[in-house]
Amino acid sequence: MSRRSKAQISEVRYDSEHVRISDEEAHRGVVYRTPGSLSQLSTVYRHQMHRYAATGVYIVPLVAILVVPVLGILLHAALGMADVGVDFSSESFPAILLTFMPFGIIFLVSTFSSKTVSADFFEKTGYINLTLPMRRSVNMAGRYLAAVTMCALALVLLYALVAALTHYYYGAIPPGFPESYAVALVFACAYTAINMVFNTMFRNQGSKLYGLLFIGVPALFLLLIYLGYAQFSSLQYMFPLSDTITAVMGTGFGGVSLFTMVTMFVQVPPVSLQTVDAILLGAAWSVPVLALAMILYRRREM
Amino acid sequence: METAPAIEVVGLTKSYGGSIAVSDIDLEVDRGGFMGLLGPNGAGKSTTLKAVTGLLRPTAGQILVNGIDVARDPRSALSGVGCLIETPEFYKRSTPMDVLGYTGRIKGLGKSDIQIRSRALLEELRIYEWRDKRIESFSKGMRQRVALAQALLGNPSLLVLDEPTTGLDPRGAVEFRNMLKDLRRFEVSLLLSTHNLSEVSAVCDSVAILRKGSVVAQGGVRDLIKRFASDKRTVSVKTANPITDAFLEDVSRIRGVQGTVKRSDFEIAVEIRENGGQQTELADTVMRHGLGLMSMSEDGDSDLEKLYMSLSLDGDPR
Repeated sequence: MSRRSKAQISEVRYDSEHVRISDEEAHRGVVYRTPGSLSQLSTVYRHQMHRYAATGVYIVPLVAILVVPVLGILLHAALGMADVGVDFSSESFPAILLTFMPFGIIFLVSTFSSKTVSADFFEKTGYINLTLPMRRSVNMAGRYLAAVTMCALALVLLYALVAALTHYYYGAIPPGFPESYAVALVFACAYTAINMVFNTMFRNQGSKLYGLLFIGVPALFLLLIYLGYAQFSSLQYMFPLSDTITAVMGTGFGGVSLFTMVTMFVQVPPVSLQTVDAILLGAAWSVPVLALAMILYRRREM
Repeated sequence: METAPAIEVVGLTKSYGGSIAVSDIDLEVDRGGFMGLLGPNGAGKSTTLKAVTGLLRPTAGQILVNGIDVARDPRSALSGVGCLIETPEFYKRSTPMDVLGYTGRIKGLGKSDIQIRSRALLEELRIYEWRDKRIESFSKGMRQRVALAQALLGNPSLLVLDEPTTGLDPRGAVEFRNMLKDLRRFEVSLLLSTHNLSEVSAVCDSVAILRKGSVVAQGGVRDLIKRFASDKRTVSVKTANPITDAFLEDVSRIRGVQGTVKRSDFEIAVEIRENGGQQTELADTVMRHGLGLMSMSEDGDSDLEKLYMSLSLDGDPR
């Protein structure tokens, strides 16, 4: 059988028999009742997850997750960094990975995953989505949860890979992984909420990007820092091994590390409290920002 | 709310900054009634339909769908409503069954109902064969059929359709009109915006004509024709190639031509007030634009068209 061309797919065939199914068999005239919001939320969520799987939106972060650590390992081995005299403790390599990778992963995954919101207005998918009998806030919440889930899954992959590498190279998994993952997830929630706001506000992809880069992300960081909240101590819990980084960077920058400078003014509370507070702070940021996104989405016109 | 009209628009006004898109529009579609919304481009048809379906918030006025205020409770108001607004787009890599599956679940259909209704609709719209193909490879007409299927899924009691036969070939358009007419058996109500006057004649029992954001006439199709029909002549021009905007512009510049209505991609109706050789000029214009003249004839029977031309071009008849 030959493969059909696009032109053939675009033709409606009138030569084929026009099937007319009886009213009873076709369920014509049956009245259906609109389901509750919770059921619709679940539908939107599953639909979004299905869309992500179908479109391969996760491919870029997945490749990044796999490629960067592997390249890092090769580089690490090729340069023989363990022999250059720096006091690389056993956790240094995963620490560096966990310094930069979660941010990158969250930015990538969240940004790609949130695009469906602006598509409603920018690509006219809203002519169908927004005329369905469903609250827009439910629609937004389903998509938000799906985007956060994608971030969570990507982070699981990253953390699992780092844990495996650590175990392979150094024979142990360093402590602090659960806390680090929790804080990273909270950061993903906060960033995705910002993403939802900008995806609702801007039709134009360029404006959205500039808005995110110059307003959204700085706002998020300013909040975290300006609140004086443990300054980098919240963020450093994304990197459970910041002491090692501090040592490495301190060596590299004449003995005074950036982290040392930042954290020397901070009274660091006990670890568990820091983590809990960081999570609360993230939630305190995410909830109102997501509420703002919902209000904007509800008021947005086409 | 069973006794409330299917749609009740009261004093709808929508403005953007200083410009008013629609002003003080009153419309009523009875339960089981089929109303056509006619008007030239920019008359406010799409704005009205978008407001009815909750895509726009009225600057003033109220819209009740099945007795429920759309602005206050869009979820309840749009339950049992099938919508097709402009030409919608679909998510990349989605298939007709993806679209219908999602729409069906949101509307409350179970898994087997979605399968049954989807099959029936896609068969009737002649795209069942392509149910699992990606929509992005479909022609505009095929996409329109998918959009129509999602609007009809869930057996809506009210349909709001904006130019539903756009992109359909003539046979597809006729078949779809027959589908709409068949829905009368189930007491479905319809608000239909279109440029196609024959569509309104064939399907609707009442019509509202908009001009510059206001309703200039509303009522039963036959009643309106009786009240407003004029003695102007309408010439139908059919071409071999698709009609272009530049051609329409040139035609409107011909002396004595009062207006044009695009009936399809290959046919326009030209309203002529006085006979001063306009038909010759029309033929020349067709040839000059390389459209290929297929036929040119005077319409003797399109009363609705005459009414429309009269109301959309002349002064306010009220």
